[in-house]
Amino acid sequence: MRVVRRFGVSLLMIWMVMTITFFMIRLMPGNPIMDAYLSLLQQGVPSQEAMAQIHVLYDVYPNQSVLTQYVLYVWHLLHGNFGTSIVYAGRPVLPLILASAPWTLMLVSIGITISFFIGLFLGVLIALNRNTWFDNVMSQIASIFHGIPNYVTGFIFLYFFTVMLPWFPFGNIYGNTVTPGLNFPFIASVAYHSVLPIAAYVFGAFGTWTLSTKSAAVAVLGDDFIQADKIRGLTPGQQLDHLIHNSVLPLFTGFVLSLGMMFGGAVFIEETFTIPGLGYLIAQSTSQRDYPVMQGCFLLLSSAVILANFLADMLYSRIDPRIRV
Amino acid sequence: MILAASTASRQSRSSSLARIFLSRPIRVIGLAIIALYLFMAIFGPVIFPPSTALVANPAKVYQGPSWADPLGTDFQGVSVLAEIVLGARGVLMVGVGAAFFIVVVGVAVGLIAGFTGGIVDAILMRITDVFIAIPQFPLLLLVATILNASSPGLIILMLGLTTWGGLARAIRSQVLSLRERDFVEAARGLGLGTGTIALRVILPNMLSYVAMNFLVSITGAIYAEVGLLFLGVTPFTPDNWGVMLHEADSVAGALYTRKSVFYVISPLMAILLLQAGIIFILGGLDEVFNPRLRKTGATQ
Amino acid sequence: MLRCIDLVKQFRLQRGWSSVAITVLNHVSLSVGPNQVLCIVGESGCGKTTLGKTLAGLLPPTRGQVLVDEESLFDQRQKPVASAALKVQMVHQDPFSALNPVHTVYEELSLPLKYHHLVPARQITEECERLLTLTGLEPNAVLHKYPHELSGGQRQRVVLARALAVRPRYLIADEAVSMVDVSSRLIMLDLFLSIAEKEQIGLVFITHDFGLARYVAVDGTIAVMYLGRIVELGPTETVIHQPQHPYTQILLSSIPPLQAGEGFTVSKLTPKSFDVPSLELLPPGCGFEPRCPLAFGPCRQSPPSLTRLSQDPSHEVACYGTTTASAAS
Repeated sequence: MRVVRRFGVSLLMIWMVMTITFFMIRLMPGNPIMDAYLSLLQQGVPSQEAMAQIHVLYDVYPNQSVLTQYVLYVWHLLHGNFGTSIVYAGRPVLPLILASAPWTLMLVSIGITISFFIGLFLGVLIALNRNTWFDNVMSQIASIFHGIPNYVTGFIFLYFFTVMLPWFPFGNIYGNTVTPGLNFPFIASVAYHSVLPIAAYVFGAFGTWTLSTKSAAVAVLGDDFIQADKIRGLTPGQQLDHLIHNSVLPLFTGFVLSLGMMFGGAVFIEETFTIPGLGYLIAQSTSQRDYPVMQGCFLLLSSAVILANFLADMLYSRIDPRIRV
Repeated sequence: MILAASTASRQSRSSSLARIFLSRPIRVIGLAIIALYLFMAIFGPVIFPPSTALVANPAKVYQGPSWADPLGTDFQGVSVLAEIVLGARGVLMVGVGAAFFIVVVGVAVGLIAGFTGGIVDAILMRITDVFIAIPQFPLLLLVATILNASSPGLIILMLGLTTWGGLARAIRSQVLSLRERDFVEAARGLGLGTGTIALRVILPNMLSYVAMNFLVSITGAIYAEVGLLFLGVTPFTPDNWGVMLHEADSVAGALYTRKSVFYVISPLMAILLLQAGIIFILGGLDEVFNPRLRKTGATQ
Repeated sequence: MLRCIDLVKQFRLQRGWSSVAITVLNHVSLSVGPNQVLCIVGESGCGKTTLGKTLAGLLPPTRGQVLVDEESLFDQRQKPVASAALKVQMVHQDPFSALNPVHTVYEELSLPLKYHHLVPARQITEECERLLTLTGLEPNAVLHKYPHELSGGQRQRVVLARALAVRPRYLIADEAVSMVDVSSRLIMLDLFLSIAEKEQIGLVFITHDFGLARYVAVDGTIAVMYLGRIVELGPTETVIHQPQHPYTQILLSSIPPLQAGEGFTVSKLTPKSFDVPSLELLPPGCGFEPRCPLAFGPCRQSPPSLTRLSQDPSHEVACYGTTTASAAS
């Protein structure tokens, strides 16, 4: 029953995001649609034709009432019609997004996973050695890295390892000599090009994982059952196993929530390394004011994060017997 | 009598404040870093008058550090140090302003939702959930592009509006747990009004949390602001760390020469150092607002 | 006079889709006058804390009334009436959680004084000092301290001083000394009694400890509570020496005597069971019937009501056994 309720809430939230986006673009000062329409008129385009052009670009007629525009907008979204790009003349938004999403998904998921395990390792290590110099130094370092924006780590890696030390290639996700497909040179090239962006993700995120693992593990260490493990004479390995199992659980929700953060970071990392992913698409459409693409990316990203939260919530209640209703 | 008592307590408070921050070397370092940034923000234009310091000098493009330009020069031959120092004011102003906005809105929404409960709570929390769930940076990009914001006030508003959700939810859950405590019930029994209970009884218990959030929000807002400029979204202000990064990335050809190292690294280090300074004093802040953590000297 | 008439308090518990109502207070009527002591005795879970909070205006009753000097404590919308509520103050059980951890003693005491403008602004410190002295504290030693810098006994005195700040006519003390060191309990009890006497305050003392109840309410009244009902009510010495309700008798016989032959043992009753029935599934008859060794027919039909004993009208008992027996005799 809780599943249905939570799912309903998620749908409600997606609808709210849709609505907020619509009104933000239509009603804020500097309404891009009216701007485009007026500038066409100024260029001497007859109003009928200007309106038709706007309709092609934005799927609305500027003289329709806001309510009609809104209903049409929702109707189109429900049919997967996110409008057409302005910059990539006439290309529908959805295929554009779907074509760039795989690169982002690949880099983000590898980045999250590696940083998660590094953070887990360091966090448990700090918790086991808490209140020593190791704890002090590592906790401060993790705090500084926690919340560092990806463009800082990305830029540093880019500059040092492609400019100062030209060890890694610069730009795009594969070299221009390979043919995309399931062949070894292509995969190798992708892997080679992925090292720096993934490193940038990892350095931007491991601090957060380290800190949350540490606090979870410290809390668990104080629990009676861990104390009892020692008394029962369990081997250090078994104790560690117990500790990690119980510390990972609270991190689970954070793991999913961080997806949203990571997609934000993708904008910077893909812009910095010129990777043709979702983040690059967002950055490019932003700087060129390609509203339909921006709006489409934003809606899909938000919906994906909201649904991921929903799934995490459901999974979490399965994993942790205490929340099961 | 009352005057004497309150000055006495104020004196002991300021002396314990000094003790808290000077007791650990790391906090002293943190304070020094923050003082340095404040100094740059306040006196920057005095040390490097923008009219002379930011003038391009084609003869000095991408020079290494020297006595005249301790951090070298950029692609126009302008001193990097001057750019960093002059950028501090704008960056700090937006950071502090946005953090202030976030704290005020977050605390207000959290307190109101936690205290009133019922339908008001439900509505406020659904709105908060949406703001938490939406990936913050893409939202910021969208808003910034639409608003085409260049004035600091508008950037502050934008950063604040997209970020207050997390704090609001955390404050609400703290209010929910604090209001079950006996001392809140006792305050109700003493006939204190809801406003007094919220602001004078419950809020002081959350001050250390709020203050920490304020500081952390400053760095977060600075990151976001610099990031927006880095992507070239908001219109340019001439001297800003984000603009430096943007130009390094896309205008200045800095990524094709090793000579630009100080130009590229300086704005990044400026951000990292400020972050470090704030992290270093966070522990002290907790002690200031949480009397239980304070080591009281000769009192008992 | 602080009176409650026919108080009923129900809580709703969520059980999946539906909710069940549990009755925590069941037709409770009690009264205490100025300078009198009423002691409510009962085991944990019997509703005595709920009763205390309702009397103090902190928890609105589901039905029934609380009257403070004949003024109703709750208005039509079940909100406490400020003027009446201030006259009844509660002293909480745990003096650590009852004090705001980030307030000094001065801030804690001055807040209600300032809020209600009880004394002119320039006399606030003076008034705080008077309150602290009244509760046996040295003002200079504690005024600017935080709760964590005080001992348990000192904290409890500050809680008492804060309650006295609004000049209440009645004090509700909920297990007020259970968190104080055993060695200073008696001193705390004497403090409560002497302040109540000095300020003409009516005292409602809630405890699980019959020995303590006897000490506090030596000239007062004892009410024995079980599962949300008052099962026996009468002058302290009468209840202790001639307990009528089997539950009271079992409670009294469970007090270990200091010397052989002492103690309150009146009869050697043993309960049939040690499990208190769940509030969600109360027996249809007397709440004590499942455990009562003397239960008989009527006890399983409907709960007995509190009835005056014919031989001693000051003594009331809710038990079919005693009331039918005394009626027969």
